[in-house]
Amino acid sequence: MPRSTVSDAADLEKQQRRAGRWLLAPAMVLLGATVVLPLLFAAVLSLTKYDLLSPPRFVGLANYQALFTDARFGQAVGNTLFFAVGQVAIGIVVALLVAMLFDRPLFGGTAMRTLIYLPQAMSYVTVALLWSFLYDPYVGPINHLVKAMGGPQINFLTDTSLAMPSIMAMSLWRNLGYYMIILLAGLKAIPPELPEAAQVDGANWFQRTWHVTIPQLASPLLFVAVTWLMGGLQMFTQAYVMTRGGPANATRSIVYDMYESAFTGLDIGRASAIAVLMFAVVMLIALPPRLIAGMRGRKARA
Amino acid sequence: MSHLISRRGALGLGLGVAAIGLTACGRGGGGTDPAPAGDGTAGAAAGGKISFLALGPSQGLTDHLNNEVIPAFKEATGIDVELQTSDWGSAFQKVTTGAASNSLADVLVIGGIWTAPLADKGVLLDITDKVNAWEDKGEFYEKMLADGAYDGKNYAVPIAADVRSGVYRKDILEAAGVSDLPTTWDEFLEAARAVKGQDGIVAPIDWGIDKSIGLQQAFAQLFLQAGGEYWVDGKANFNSDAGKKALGFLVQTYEEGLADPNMVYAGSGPRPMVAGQAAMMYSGGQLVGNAAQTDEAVLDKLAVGPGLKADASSAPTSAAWINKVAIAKNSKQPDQAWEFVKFLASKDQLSDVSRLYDALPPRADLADADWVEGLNKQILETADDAVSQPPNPKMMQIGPEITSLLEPAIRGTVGVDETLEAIDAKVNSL
Repeated sequence: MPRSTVSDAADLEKQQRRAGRWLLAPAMVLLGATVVLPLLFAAVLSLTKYDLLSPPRFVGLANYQALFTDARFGQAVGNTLFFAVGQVAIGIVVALLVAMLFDRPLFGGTAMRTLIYLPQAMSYVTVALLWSFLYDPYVGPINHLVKAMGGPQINFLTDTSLAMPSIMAMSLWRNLGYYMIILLAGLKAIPPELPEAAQVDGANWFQRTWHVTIPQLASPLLFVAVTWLMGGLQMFTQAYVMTRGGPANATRSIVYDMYESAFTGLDIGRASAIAVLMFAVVMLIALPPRLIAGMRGRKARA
Repeated sequence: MSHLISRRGALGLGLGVAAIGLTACGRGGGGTDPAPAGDGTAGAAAGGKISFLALGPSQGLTDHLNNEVIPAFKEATGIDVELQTSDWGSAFQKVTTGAASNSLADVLVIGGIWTAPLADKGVLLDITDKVNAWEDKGEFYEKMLADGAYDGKNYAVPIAADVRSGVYRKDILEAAGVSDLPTTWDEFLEAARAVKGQDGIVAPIDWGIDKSIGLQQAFAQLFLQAGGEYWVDGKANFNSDAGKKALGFLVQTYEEGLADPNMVYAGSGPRPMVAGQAAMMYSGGQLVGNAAQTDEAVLDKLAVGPGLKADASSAPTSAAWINKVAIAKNSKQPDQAWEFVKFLASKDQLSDVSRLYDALPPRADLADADWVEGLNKQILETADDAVSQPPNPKMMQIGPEITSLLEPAIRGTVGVDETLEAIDAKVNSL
């Protein structure tokens, strides 16, 4: 390639990058003002004792120390991890199986797909209220059905061992359709020759799924796992509407603890410390996949 | 190590951070008095507009305020009132953030235990002089008026009294062979044991547990009946003889299957007493209101008993939760706001306001109001024995914390002594 052509191409790329930066600038300014600065402000407030109504008082790392020694906050962390990891672990398997079901010609497939996606269109508050009614031990239809079949009353939201799994089931019902659609799009993008070739080679359904489909779905699966996990870590509405963190703190989540610290306890410093820790954890989860994807991209370009 | 950071300094750090910064710092300068409290006799300047935040109003009360009270006030004084409403669930948050951002309504309803926390934070206007000069002051029940005071100063005027005494399903009790309503804890237990196992009964006693602080309220009334004092020498005193007696009694009802930790009222539909799943409850106007709304036929089956005595020698005690109206300290029109408070708490207006709050009127001259009859009359008669929770600036935190610590106790996973020790430690740490 002549030298002038190489130089022209380099100039063009430079110009494109510059233009890209200018085009991005307004969005970056907006993000800076609405995300970065509030985060910095929260980080500063996390070093203070502040009740919204009197001036903040600098207390160093006391809020963080208090969090690390607070058994109830530890319980909230455990609950949140149980909810987030459990939801992703169960949800991703179910969503993949449902997506695989819809990936083949199915009578009424479109209607069923729409039905499964529909809960995603409802607000969490609405879904939480609806499921609170479904779960009600005295007037809820689930218990009516169970009792009609001679079963015992099930205290979904007031039994300490059942409350969190019940909330998890409700959240799965609401979110499954969205993640199923993403995985279905991933399945549709797999060239049909790949599983066909494996089938010709004698691979059974499980082998084709394990060795062909899942590796081909690596990116969508990673996206679903990371975004679902991050959503799970921020669980609040379900706990607020359905149980207020009870019974006996069994559904108290990190964000619920943060909310209660800020608006019931008027302890903005503690709430900010929780927010900062949450941000750090979410970054730890979200950043590695981005870095790996970036490295792969650079390697591919090289 | 702690240093004060000036409000301006905090603002500087958050320069441009509108979302959080404005909320946090809008009040400015630690809050200064916008106007003197006045002598209470000065009439409001004619005209103007104020805002009123009504918390937890039913649709009926909202309509009544909009269609009756506010137009009548406008006609009488020329002052417009903008009505704002909020449910109780997020009410405290709205009040505190409103106060912090200087956008709190001029007049606001405050809940039973809110006076001290809000007064201590400088959210409420000191209206001592106005109340003392008010000709209607003497009509209010003294204890109820005192519920709006903190540290010797008046901050709020009562508008609705939720007096709670023993309420019973007399049809279920009679079917179980209980003819006299309980007056002591022992009689209460005996009646519950008799009712246990009756047709349709899930648990004889409904302690009024809800998703909020119902459990703490149940414990509080027992603690007060046992002669408990919340504070001794400025320290929490729940881990005391009275505390052990009260929590021991509460836990015993769960251990014997006389109460059910899963009986949690979700906030809508008939309460377990109305649905016939329980037969005994510490309640008042709210239960009567619930029955009226969901199953009117049950009203005839309810009976109000006296405030219970921990034992035969102690005094009968019922509990009172008083909704009040207060004026925001940052109100730019405190005189107009006071005019509205007086109007709302006047004999002519307060009757309907109390009724629509499913509560009783806190004025003695409304004791004979048309609607204060039957069950409501019986509940009001127990008001002489009613006590409120003692005021404390940390009361908003104390309720949820105690509830959280009591839950394992009623489930039998943590013992009484351990629970009370934990409550004292937690409350003191606040």
